[in-house]
Amino acid sequence: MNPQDPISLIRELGNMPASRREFLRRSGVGFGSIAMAGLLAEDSGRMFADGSAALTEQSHPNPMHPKQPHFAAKAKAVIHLFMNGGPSQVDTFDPKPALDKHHGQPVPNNLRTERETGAAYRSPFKFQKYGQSGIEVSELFPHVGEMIDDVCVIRSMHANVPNHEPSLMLMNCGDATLVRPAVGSWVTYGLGSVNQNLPGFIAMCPGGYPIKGSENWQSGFLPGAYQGTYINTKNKDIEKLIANIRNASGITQSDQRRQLDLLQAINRRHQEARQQDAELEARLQSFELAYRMQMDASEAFDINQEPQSIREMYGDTVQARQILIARRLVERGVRYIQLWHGNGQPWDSHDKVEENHRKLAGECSQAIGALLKDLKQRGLLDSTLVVWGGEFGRTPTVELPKPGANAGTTSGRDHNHYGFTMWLAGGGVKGGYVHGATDEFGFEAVEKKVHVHDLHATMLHLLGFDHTKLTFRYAGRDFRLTDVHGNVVHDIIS
Amino acid sequence: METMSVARTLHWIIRKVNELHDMIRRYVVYISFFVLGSTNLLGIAIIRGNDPAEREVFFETKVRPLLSQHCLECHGVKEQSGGLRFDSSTAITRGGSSGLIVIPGAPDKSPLVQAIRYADPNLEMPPKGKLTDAEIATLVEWVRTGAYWPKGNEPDAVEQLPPAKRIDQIRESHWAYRPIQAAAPPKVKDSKWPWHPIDNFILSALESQEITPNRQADRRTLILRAYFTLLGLAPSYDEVQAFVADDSPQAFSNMIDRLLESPHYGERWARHWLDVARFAETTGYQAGSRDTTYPYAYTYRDYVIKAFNDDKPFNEFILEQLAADQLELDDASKHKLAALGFLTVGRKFMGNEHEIIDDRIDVTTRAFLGTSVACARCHDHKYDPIPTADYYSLYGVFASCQEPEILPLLGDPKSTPGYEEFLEAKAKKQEEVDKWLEKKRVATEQELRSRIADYLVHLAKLRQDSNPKGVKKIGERGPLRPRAVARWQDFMKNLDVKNHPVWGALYRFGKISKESFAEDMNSILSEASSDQLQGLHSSLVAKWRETPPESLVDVAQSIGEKLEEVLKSWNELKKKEPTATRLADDSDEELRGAMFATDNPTSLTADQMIAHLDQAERNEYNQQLGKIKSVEASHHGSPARGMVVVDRPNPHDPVIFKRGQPGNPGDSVPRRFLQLLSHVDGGKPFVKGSGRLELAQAIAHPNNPLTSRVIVNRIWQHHFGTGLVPTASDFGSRGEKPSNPELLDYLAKEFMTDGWSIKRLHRRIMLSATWQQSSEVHSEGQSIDPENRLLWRMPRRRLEFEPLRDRLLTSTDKLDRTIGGRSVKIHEDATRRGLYAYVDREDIPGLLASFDLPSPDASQATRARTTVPQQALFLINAKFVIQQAETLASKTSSIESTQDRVKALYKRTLARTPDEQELRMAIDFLDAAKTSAEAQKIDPWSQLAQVLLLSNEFAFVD
Repeated sequence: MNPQDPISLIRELGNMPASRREFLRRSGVGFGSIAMAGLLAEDSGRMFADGSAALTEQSHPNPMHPKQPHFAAKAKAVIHLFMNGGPSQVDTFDPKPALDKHHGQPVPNNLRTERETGAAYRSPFKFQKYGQSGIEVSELFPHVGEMIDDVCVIRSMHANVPNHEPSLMLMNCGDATLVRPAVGSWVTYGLGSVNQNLPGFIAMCPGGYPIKGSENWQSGFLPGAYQGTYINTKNKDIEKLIANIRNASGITQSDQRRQLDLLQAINRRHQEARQQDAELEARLQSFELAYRMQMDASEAFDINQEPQSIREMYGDTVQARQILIARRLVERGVRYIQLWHGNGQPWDSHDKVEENHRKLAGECSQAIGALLKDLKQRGLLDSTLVVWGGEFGRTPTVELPKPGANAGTTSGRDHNHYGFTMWLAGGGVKGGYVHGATDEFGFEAVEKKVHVHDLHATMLHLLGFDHTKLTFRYAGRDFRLTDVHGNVVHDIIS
Repeated sequence: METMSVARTLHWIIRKVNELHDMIRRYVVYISFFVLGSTNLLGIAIIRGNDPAEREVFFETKVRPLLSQHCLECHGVKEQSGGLRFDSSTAITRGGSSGLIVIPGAPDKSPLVQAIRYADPNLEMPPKGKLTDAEIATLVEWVRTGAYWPKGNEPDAVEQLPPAKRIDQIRESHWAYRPIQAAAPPKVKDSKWPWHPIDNFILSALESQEITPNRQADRRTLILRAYFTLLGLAPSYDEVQAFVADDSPQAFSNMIDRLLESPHYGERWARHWLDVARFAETTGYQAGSRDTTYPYAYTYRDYVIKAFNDDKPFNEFILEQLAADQLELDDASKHKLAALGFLTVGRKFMGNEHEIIDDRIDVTTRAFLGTSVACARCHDHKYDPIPTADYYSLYGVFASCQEPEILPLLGDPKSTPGYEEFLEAKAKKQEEVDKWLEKKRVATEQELRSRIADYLVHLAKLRQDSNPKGVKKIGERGPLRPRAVARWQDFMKNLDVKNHPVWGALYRFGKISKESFAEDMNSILSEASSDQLQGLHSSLVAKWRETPPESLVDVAQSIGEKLEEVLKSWNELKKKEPTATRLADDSDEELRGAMFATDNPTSLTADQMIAHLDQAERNEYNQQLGKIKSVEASHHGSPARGMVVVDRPNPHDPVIFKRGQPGNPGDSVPRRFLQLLSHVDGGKPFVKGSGRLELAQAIAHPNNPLTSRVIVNRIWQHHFGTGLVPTASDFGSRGEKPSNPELLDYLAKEFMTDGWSIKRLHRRIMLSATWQQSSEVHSEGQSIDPENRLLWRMPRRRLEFEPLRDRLLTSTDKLDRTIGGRSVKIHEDATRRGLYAYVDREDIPGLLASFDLPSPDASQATRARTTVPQQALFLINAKFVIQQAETLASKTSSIESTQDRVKALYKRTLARTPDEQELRMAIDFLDAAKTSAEAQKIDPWSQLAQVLLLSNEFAFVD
């Protein structure tokens, strides 16, 4: 059998008894997704004949094999732009004229956050109306402003506590303390991934890990295949981006091919005496996949293959590079991409919010705008859900100086989980639409409040899942991303 | 109406829905008939006629799911809101506390229908949101046609029992909780195949399915299989040859004995147990630069290796891992304290005690009892007879324990040069930390004194402000140290302060009301010898007479300013005369003395300084401490310590946290063993300290039906790839049933009779025909039992990461065979065995993760077996693998004959010689490489060696 010929592979596998095919269900081997889809459709079809929508580990072959969601949906992939540290809503997408008027005066409702805050603190940034929808966006994100008619701004987000760690866990895994799978793990568990030669769930962060490290993309009790693959996008070299993607001795492609040909010949002789053993076959195939992946992955991460005009559109920053890589990955069928702004918590502007936010937005605004424009011009925006936000927002009041906690200035804002802004674009959300509102000063969400669980329920809905039915049985219980919470926000769906 | 409970009992619903799916499957024939025949525009089934079958199908497919999904949460077995339950016909027809809710045949009169129609704003059900029109119509139709409830379809009879009775019932009905039965090995037709009673059990099950087991595997396969199973290492070519040539009937048995005596046996089996014990060497994420390492986690691993090598009876293994500290160990046995790492090597959840305890409950019950108790944290276990009370009984045990600040040594350190070097290195670091702290202390004293006015003014504000909580801890010159403010507050509470010449003023004038302060102060100052001024420092009184204070804040400000002036002159003096001991001016010196007094809040000891550290300083301090810890953790001479727990002085009396919320306490419960297993120890509350030892004894008790079954099943699993019970850590009702229950009980019984010896269990298993049969597939077995659950053949197994990597290193003789000790970074090309890999919970090396090393965040019974391209990428491209290939090439380079050299490579990698065709393939490959211009850079021999290392034969054991 020629290992590179999917048809003959299907024939071989088709001759195997079902139990041997069963071996394949845990293997991430990429036999060519279409071939596998055809081969295994028979099994999965039977599994779901009773109308049961509950997914169990047993019901799927290769963990990353593409699967159908509960219902037809527009969004097929997600890019989550994570502004870790918590961007300020009143300085970006939630203008509050009252802050200008009452600058320096106490606000009526100064809520308890992590640290003490004082008087109302006006935004140093100017807001301007954009697009037909006339949604106001601050001077920090003019490029997002240009695309605002494709953006749905949720101004009434809220979470549970004003601390980074639990809020990151809540935003990424749906639970503040317990070890639970990340959203990306749930999504790849539910949908698999289209491209078997690349990881289905990729977390990119330049320079190291964000706070809470790899817990942000953990697979928890889901099989390890659904864990996010971390990539340090500070590196430009493909060798550093994906482990062992280049041969350490620098062997040429044709020599490696000859090596693998011998390996396959030896393996096939070994197999002859052992009849058709799917696990042996799977391992044999995995070398072919690895061989192809060397080319495919290098190509996917190489933005130099983009025309000059596209690279200029995104700009020349680390952010721009990783955002452009994200688009290339989406094009290649990667399911879930999370982009972190940087290691630690760059957006955490306890002081000098003006200086810090200006610098941070300067690093990513152009590329984010370009991403939306680029996805749209390629017809990918409809099928790609772009999510922007932090783990929470910031107070509209000024943070009071405290030794060791900030630089002792009165120029920053504390964490704020009572009300903050996130925006979604593409993937079937209503563009040019503002959902919900915070109070007069922007402290607390008051209208059409959207909890993080609701956001998760809505994201799953946009991807075609009933969040109450995307479950996994673990330790005797059926778990789900939203646990016992979450309501789909139908208003934001187009 | 009662409002809906906040925390939901979703398990219940999920179960009901699952049951329904089963039911739906059963009724699938009816459904198709029924739905086709009678669906109206809304898609709602209408019942025609009175056919009970039709009514039943309607009920089961339409009505019960709705009730399950929307009603049972609050009106079920768990909760009967309003006295109502919707899970049985009697319950429905009886109604609730406000009377009948369903009047069969009269939907409009039935309160249930009114409620779901949201007709009455005071009675809207379900409260979460109105049902859809179709759903409402279904229930209306159901009531209209008589509210049919199928007979004999009452909820599970057991579930209706009171909790204690329910436990009794399940204890008697579920296989895993019943006493272990000593069944005689069954008779079999083929009397020649069985060699051991195990085989009778296996063969009997096979014969009943008319499957023939395989015959004995060839000797080469047997030795590879035995080495892999017992040592996780491959035999050398010579070892294979010797065994193949040894035709003594005792050859195999002798080999097993030899392997069981090898110190590498303990390494192999320790790794299996470490998966169960969720072993890793860090705490998981911690805020604020805190050290996350467990420098002594390795001592737990060493303990486990030694326990397996010594064939420690498994019941002792249990006692030591849960309660070694309570076993009254003599000095020679102190090393056993390391066993307690079982409890402590888990994640630390940023110090959240509830989560840490939960982790310990989880690992203990799953590892030893194959029972998941952690499920009962928020509510009674839905499937197994574990009430919430049991969780909190165990919670009480672990909440009564703590990890000591300083971990105990596992023996007296011997004065070796290494140890002396370690002491020196540590003292040096300690000195650095002390120096850092002392510098900080002097600077902070200076800071507190030079800003004393800010602190005194703050005290005055706190005294006078009607809302002291609203006073921000900020002075004129920036924020105040909270600890210093607190210390000043305590200081001022001291009665002696009243008569102090300086601080007495704040105390006395603090009593004057805020409103009349200026007036009262004026009158005090105008008196020549007011009692109020008696004993106060004259320079201060003079200052006030000059500018009378109008408020307590003014008083504080003036005192502060005066003191700061004095401090300034003192600092200047010290600059000029470093040896000066006092100020020349007596009055000023008196004030300086007040400020520099050792009990004054501006004077700090080293300990007080630590308490005064602000957040940034504390991070810095933690980093300093980390340096000492890292010497202890990494210095080669650092003595081993045990990661122990000890009992707290006062044991914790547990209360149930309702819904798992600590802020929501319920009934108190005793610390005791699981009620399900109360017959083991009489169900008595634990009385000795935390009760940990009593818990361990109950777990290890021979009457405990779970413990011995669970461990023999785990051992079986590592011989055959799958346990007799495939869900090795879940013996409850959700787990799988044993494929051969009589065999499981036979093994468990023999195991206990045998003194809980794991080595003897291995011998027993490996001397069976079952274990020694070949892995060949035959069509009869394949068609009847394709999963091979009955073991008609030996399953072929793939080497896990550790044995695979170890084998790469043994093929080149590079493996470092040292037993035990600190971990190494396996992913960075270390040459120790795979089980010594350093695993940081927070940053699991990608290599280990991609080769299925289990997550150390929960006890793992079985490893995933994935075949992902990352594994192949490592093997084809990684430097580590290529180095092994190059070493193989160079180690054989002196062999001149090409054929002989190929043979040598085969012997080293696959422990055999190649056949003719293999030889030819290899030589063809080498020849082609020589003619390829590109290949000149890389030695074709090394390429060939790598191919053999990558081959399936290398990675699988038949």
